[in-house]
Amino acid sequence: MIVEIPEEQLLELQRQAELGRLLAGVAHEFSAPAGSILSNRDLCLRLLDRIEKSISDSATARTVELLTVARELARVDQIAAERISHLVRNLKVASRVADPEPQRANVNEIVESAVQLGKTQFRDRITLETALGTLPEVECYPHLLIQAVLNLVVNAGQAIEGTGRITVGTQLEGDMVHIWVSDTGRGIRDEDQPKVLKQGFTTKPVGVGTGLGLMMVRRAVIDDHGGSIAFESQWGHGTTFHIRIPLQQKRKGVE
Amino acid sequence: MPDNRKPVVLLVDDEDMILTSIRTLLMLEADYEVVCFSNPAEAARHLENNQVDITVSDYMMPGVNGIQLLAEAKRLQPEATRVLLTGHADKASAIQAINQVALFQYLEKPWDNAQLLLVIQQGVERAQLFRELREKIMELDAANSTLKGTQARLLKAFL
Repeated sequence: MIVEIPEEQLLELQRQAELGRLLAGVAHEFSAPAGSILSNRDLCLRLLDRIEKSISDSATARTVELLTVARELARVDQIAAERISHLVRNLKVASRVADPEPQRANVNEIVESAVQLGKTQFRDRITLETALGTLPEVECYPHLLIQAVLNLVVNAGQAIEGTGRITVGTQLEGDMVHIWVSDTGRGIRDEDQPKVLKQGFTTKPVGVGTGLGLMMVRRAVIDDHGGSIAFESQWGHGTTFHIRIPLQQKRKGVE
Repeated sequence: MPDNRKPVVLLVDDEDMILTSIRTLLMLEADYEVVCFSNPAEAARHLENNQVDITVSDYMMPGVNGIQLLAEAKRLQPEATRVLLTGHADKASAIQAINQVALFQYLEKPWDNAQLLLVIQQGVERAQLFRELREKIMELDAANSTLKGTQARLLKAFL
């Protein structure tokens, strides 16, 4: 089926593709400094151990205290540096332009990555929770799945005015994996519900929504993974989106 | 032949901070001679005249990329080990690296010090074993040709 895409949406898609490339570049630029900081932090701890050993006989109480403070700082650095390093890894996977073949992956890790990336947008305004079930490895395109879940999380966050809660869950259903994103936002009006999964539909103000987010989710879930999308929503109470993808991908390569 | 020189680790990255971090790690936890280059072309020139045990190279660098440098390292010193440490990890470059330069390990930045240390130690050991093997084969070849000469002389003397 060929869908004609209006020109302004085409431009928007191009802009998003450029942003994706920019993001991949930024993630790459971060790898070296993050790597260096993480390594040096580890080395500082190793050095502190050595210093402590070499002065163990002559150390005054004050020296021991100073060493403890230095070690404590190095530990805080570790938490800080690991957070940067996780973010860089998640960004790299999410902004990857294309994985030519599906990979066996841990879907719960993919969901966690999307949630971590989503958190950077909402800070304390929204509580993000996960309810992850036990899953087998799933054959999928990890970058597309992260983008799809991230899109749903960002949508959910935009539906919440003020404070609220988003829950992202996973569970195994036969030979499918079920991923759901639930929010306590404003919900979708009954009359808008049939239009939600159509490309270009948005109720968000200009500059917030493009009407393309769900289209990308659709493309990733239905076209690329052979899965399905559904949602239920109550105006004023919130929305839950459901993604289901098969555990195995059909080979679509040429013979 | 016992060899008392320290194993040589060649580090190549256009970011000085990476060189400093890894050099410090090796200084602290191992006993190697560490040679660093932020310019891959200079690293390639170094490989022409100086034996190394392992080359650890970044991928994206100005002028020469990591795979091109490691291909040159393979041509100049085939028995030395080659490792790629890259911030730009994608499947295509990984496959290219493994196939073209017989890569020992493909590591991603940010790296884990304990893991990097282990890879470098194993890589150095591997290079030294290769070199020992080559020396033994050359000794065997020499012994073999001496034997052949003796045999020829014996045949001449008795027939």
